Amino acid sequence: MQNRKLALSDDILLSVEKPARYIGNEINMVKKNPKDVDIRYCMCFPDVYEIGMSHLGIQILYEMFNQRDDIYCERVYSPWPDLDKIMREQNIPLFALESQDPIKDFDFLGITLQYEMCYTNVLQVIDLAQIPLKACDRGMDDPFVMGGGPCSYNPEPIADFFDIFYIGEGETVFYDLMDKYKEWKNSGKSREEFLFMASQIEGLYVPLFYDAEYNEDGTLKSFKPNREGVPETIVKQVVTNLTDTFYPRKPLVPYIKVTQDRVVLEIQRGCIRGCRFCQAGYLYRPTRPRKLETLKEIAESMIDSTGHEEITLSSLSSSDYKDLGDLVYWLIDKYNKAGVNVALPSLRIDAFSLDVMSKVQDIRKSSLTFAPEAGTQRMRNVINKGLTEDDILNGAIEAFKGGWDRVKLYFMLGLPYETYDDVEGIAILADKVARAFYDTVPKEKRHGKVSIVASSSIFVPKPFTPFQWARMNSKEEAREKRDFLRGKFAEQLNKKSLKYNCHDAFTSELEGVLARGDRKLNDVILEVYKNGAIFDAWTDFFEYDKWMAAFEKYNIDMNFYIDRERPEDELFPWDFIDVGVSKKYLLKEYQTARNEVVTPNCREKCMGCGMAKFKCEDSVCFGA
Amino acid sequence: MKYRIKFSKHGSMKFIGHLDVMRYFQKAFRRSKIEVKLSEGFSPHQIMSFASPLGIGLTTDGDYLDVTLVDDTLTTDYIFEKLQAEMNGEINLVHVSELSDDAKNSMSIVCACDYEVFVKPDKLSKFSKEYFSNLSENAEKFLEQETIVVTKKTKKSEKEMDIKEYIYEFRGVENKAHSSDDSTPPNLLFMRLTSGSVLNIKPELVMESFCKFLSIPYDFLDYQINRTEMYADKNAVKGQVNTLTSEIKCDLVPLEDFN
Ligand code: SF4
Ligand code: SF4
Repeated sequence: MQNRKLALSDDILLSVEKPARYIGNEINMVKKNPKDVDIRYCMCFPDVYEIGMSHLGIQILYEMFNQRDDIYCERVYSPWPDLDKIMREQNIPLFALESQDPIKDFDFLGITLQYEMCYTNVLQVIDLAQIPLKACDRGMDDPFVMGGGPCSYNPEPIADFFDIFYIGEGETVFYDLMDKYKEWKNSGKSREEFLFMASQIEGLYVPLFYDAEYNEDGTLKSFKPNREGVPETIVKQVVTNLTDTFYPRKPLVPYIKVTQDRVVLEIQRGCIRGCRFCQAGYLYRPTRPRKLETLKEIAESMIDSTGHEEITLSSLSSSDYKDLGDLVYWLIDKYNKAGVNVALPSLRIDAFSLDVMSKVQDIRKSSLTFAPEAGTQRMRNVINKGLTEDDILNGAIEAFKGGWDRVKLYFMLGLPYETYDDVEGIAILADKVARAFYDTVPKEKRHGKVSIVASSSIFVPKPFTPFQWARMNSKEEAREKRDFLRGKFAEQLNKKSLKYNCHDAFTSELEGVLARGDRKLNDVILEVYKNGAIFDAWTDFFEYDKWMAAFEKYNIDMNFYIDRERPEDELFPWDFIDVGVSKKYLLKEYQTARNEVVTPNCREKCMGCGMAKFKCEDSVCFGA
Repeated sequence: MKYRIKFSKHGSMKFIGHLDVMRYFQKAFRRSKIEVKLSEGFSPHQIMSFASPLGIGLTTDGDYLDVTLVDDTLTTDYIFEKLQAEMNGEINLVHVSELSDDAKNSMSIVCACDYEVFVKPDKLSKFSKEYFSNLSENAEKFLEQETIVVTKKTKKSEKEMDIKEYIYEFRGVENKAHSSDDSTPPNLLFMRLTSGSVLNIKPELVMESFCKFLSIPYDFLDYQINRTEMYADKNAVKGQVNTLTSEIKCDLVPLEDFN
């Protein structure tokens, strides 16, 4: 019997946790002979396999690339610390799961950047692959390292480590880049020549070709190309017609249980709502729904090709998808009895969602989810969260009548213009929901107490949102607010039915620094990595002290990035990217927030955010 | 209708644990569009049962799972073909047999297993020439011992136990795949051991005892263990192990032939 070649020996695989993370051969894995292709591309999600495998974006690009006969796209995820150690000790180069070949022999390594706390893992992957960490140190034999995903909208803190960033949605110009690469590969031209060719493609950013200058106070003075012919602004790539765009029909099916062990059906992209804290809401504008018939067809082929026992819908705000009812009832009719579970994303709680939930979940075991994000109406106006207290209470009352008695509420602490009254409002709102239960459900129908679980996270201002100018709360402030709120929960009438969880401010501060950071942070991240930090997104591995030491070494003050209201005319490190939504519009929204005024959503009224210039036919800008 | 499926698992699939193999088959059935009977309740799942979990690192030529299918009219050939089309190249179907409706599931009837134990190619240099040339002879001697006492470890306790009676066979055999210029060992150990819910003797345990007998160090990483067959006992008595020397002697039949 011909066994598949594996990069790691039996001894190693049998000594690490979950060896299945490193062997590949999942169902629907693409097999090609590397000799038959012109380009070898390795896609990376820089976190553990179970998380990386759950990411839809990689599945899309994986199948899209592999449609082409001249490209073999493979995958890699971050080796867990147990294997990381062994690979360093034994000098084993990081390999791709499909061919098990070393990544250093590939043409490209593409890394998706989904959260700031993965930056040390990015370095881990490049380093274990035995590729020089800094782009400027790479030679002709090294792969080109590309970055993409939400964090690439402010790529500056990690600009040194990437040859090219892809700004925007992956479905548009990747093929163009690959064609250019083939042209270059046999031309004998230099590495820099290829980067220049790449820089001529819209949406691609080559950090090497830009210089940043700073003012004395540390703010950005100018950011300009250092080479003739390189564009000053990078225009985000947007898929103009989502229905016709590529969608994976044969997603990979892992052996071990991963976070998203189900078919994921992306029903639309973008969100109409424009909550002012929400980066995704601005980055993925405009709202572009997929056609119902297409979705049915995609769902069927994905269930058939994977054999998954669950399907879930994905979008930023599924309740805003116009044909949601038709789609969901169709899925339930077709699949629920066949043992394929229809998992619902969090929907706005109303008669429709309650009916659907009662069909697909065991009411006694499921809970209702609301994300008011803030405790008072005033504060919700500031952040433009359309959900009112009445919406929440009426939804909850309907649900209580239907038999539900568990509620989860999500909030943020440290939002701009927040007062202690707003913080207290969280406890009061939670108590009102509990009271609604006791007023609605007669004693004989209750199964014990109602359970209201409120959670709060610390708000982190992000680029390309109206709050990009805002000062972030320090850890100390956040902790003070948390303790105050905890006290307020204890004062509520129904306190025995309420529970309050707070995610600690531990990593939020750092996330805040990295999110709105500049090029000066590259040194810090490299230093932290060299001191042994990886898997910072995992509380068990996060080493606060290493980060503090690195900031100190490079004489960088974290407070410059977080504890500072930015002036309206400040030049931001990410301003060279044109995401469509204009800076002017964002600033206007920030001012509107200060006045506690709500902005209508895209469907109610177009506010002219700037996205319409992309001319997405099937988007909300044009009535879809 | 109930069916028993015999499958093999080799190559990189030896790193996939038992629960994941179960999920693998559930998904394979769905892809094949052969409907497996579902359990009741809000999230129904396929009713499927495996004869005996195989540890990570072991391979098999013949493990078993039982399923109940919705459609009574399917032939075993049809099932074999449809399901085999959904296999991944390293887990493969070997045989499909029909069971009577009242057939006991394989988990409750399995009572012995065959194993082959190879020295892994990259570990050959750790072993002397004599290890291989004397393997058959030493295996015989090992089995001729008065008692074969091992320490059986469970999560809670350790206890000494004489397992001699539960080793039905233990001998050196020629490695058919071996040729003089390759890196596979010239011979290997074959063992048939008591298995199942009453008493389960693991091949690793026997191997460790054999190494002790030879006065060589034991490292589980040195050996590749391959399960080759699983058996039911025609003379089975509930809660009891029949051996070759017990009052009621065992009469072993491969699970695929037992109905
Ligand atoms: S509803 Fe608000 S928070 Fe949710 S995705 Fe849309 S803009 Fe973001
Ligand atoms: S242009 Fe108008 S409709 Fe389109 S995303 Fe912007 S605000 Fe919404």
